[in-house]
Amino acid sequence: MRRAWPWAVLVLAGLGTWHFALTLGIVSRAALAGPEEVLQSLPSVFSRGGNLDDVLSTLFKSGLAFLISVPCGVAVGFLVAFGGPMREPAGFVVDFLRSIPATALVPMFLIIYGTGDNSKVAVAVFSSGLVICLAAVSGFQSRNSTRLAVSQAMRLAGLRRVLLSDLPEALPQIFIGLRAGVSLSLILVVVSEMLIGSNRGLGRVIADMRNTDDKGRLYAAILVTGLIGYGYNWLLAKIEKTVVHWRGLA
Amino acid sequence: MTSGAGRSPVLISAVDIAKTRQLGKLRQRILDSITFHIGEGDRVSVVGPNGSGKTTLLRILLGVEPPDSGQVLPAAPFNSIRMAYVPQDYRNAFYPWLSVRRNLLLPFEVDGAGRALADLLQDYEQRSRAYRISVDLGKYPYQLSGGEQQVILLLRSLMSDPQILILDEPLSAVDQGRRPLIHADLLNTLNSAATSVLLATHDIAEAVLLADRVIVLDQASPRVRTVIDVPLGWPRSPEVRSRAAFGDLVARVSGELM
Repeated sequence: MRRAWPWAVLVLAGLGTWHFALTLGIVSRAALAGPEEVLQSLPSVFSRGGNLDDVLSTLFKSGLAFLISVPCGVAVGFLVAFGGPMREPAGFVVDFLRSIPATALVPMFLIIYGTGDNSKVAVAVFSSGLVICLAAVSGFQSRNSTRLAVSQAMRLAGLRRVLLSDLPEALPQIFIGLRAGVSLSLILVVVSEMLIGSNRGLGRVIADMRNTDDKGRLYAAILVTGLIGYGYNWLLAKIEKTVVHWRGLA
Repeated sequence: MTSGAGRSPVLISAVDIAKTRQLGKLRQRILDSITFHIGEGDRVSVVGPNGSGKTTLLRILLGVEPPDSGQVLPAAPFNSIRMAYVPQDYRNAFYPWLSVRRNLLLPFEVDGAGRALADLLQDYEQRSRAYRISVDLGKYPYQLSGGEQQVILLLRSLMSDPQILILDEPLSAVDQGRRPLIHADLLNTLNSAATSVLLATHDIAEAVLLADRVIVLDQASPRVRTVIDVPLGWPRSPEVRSRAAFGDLVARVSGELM
């Protein structure tokens, strides 16, 4: 049974610090809302008349972007890793593209896909897909030499080899990429919602609330993006534990 | 040093194999001028202390590790020789993402070989009963003990009826009480089939029991120290261990390893 009190201590200490930082004037009330205001604003972020549509829109876009980037990243990673002479140059291209801050590419995606949801999803797919791809490349390359010898002695080949040997062998590494990818998807969707003149999404809410000076709702929206990010990672960790059940054991 | 070819047609030859190994900053030559032939039905044991290059030699013969110089010459295209391999590192020999059952049957899925599933499972049941081992096939490999893992690997390799069986310390984690049961089954199999064997082991009695000749490697030199013929003949039963000639051979091999 997990003890409850260390959690309570931490939450109270956090809220206390927050509260006193404001009352003692260490942080200006013009910059930070108090915990009470944020908690009061939280229901309006989730209400139909409030920002529920924005929450769902951000969830949908980031989730969709991640789901598209997984097969793309893994497939390209596979091609690069088993690309023979093409492996090094192709790996360089992937690494270079990944090094471009994806936000710098937002204007390009805006021109290609317009100001709607498509451009935000595209930026997120680009960024998330590349980290997944890099993780997949290293996963497909880092093979256990004993298992390699055994599968060679078994003459495992073709699609059977990919599905039974290569892909599962790469899975632990791929999951590292998935964790990074899901966070990137959310980050880029929220950032592009703020940058591009969009009409929906938590990024837009955050930008709007700053302009209208509704700090309670501003910080409530930030809190919700944090909750979404945490939720994605939690879900992924659960899936990883089931799928890569042998990790650390074999 | 060359060890004589068997009387039977050669299945696979190692010719003038040399291999160095990187140990930190040091390059160490672990194999040099190694030449031998394995004929159809030839049984060859390789003994030697730790680090003498047994595992490397087996991996070179298997075609998974290239020699620095020299050649491995199979009689037929390499891929057409049915090989079964039990690696020393048994923990990494399984696909941990597949159940023990799936791991056990994998080589037969690959071959698409004619053996029916029921037939294979019966073979498995028979042998595992003989070894007095009972494994829950629904488990994952990492849930088995080391000895169980080794026995499953050996069982699988025997079930596949290979032309050549490459065994790298296949019973190192199996308890002493069970080894004679497995040796008996191995002899049984070798008595009735023309399977070739290349066995690396630290168990000198095992090396003599299962082989026609024993290649002795040592650590001081990367070359073959000596090759000892084992004229015990086939078919062979476990009782051969009680013959004076067997004791003499074990003593000779031990003497070479001193």
